[in-house]
Amino acid sequence: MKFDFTRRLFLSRTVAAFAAAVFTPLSKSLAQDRSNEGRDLKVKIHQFSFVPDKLKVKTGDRITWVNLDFVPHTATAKDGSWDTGILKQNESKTITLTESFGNEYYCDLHPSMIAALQAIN
Amino acid sequence: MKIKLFLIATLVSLSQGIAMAKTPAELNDLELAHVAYSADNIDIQYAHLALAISKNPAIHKFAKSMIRDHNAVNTQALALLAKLNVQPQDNFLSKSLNEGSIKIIDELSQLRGAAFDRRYAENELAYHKAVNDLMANSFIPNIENKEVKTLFKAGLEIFKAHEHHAEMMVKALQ
Repeated sequence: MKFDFTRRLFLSRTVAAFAAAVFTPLSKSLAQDRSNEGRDLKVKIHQFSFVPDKLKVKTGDRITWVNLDFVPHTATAKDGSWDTGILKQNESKTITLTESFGNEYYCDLHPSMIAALQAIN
Repeated sequence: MKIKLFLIATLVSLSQGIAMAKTPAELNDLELAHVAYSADNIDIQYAHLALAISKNPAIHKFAKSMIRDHNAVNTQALALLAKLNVQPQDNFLSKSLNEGSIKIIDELSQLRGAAFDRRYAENELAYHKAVNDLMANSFIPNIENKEVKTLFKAGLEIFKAHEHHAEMMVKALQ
């Protein structure tokens, strides 16, 4: 009886160790892969403001700008590296950030509207 | 500067000379709707004039924004009036704004080149400042209908952005 218990304990520990050896690196690498994937982020254009006006981003993130105002707006990088084009009310545009994305942006139709993407790469 | 003084004089006369009739703060919702519609159309007229006379791309860009935004506000205003089944009411302030705009259009029409651009930008700044002040301090606090008030508040946000844009344009043209 004691032998059985010891053997069972040994076996269960062996299986656990094996599973840990095999699956841990796999799940870890999957997690890493996931962290390297771009995220889906949203910026609302509301009452002549970008909300949020500062957004932490990294290369590969997909940012969707949606215009909730009844006048058209754009989200346009100051360095010209990206541009949503004109967005009418309730229209949206998603942009995937490439390595050389411009951080500061504005509304090309209303240049007093400014905001920024803060790189966390 | 000349335009700014004219606008200030017009607005002072609105609250003094016409005080016998009413003050801007005493206008009812339907009269205010008429004022807002008139003010939008006046700025659209200025913008069309700018597109016809100016050769400056920055002025054209600003003017196109004015046409687009003020038309959008008017569309919202007309839709709300239709929903409420009411008609805007003409009043002393609408009349005075329209009379003032005729003089400004006459003055702007005689200018060309950089002189026009500067005067147009200065007028846009002064006009939006004056209208925004009226909206914030005289109109919005006295509007009774909730939906009309919401529309005026949204309009004020738009016109404040126009004021900032005009300010940037005036600085750039100096």
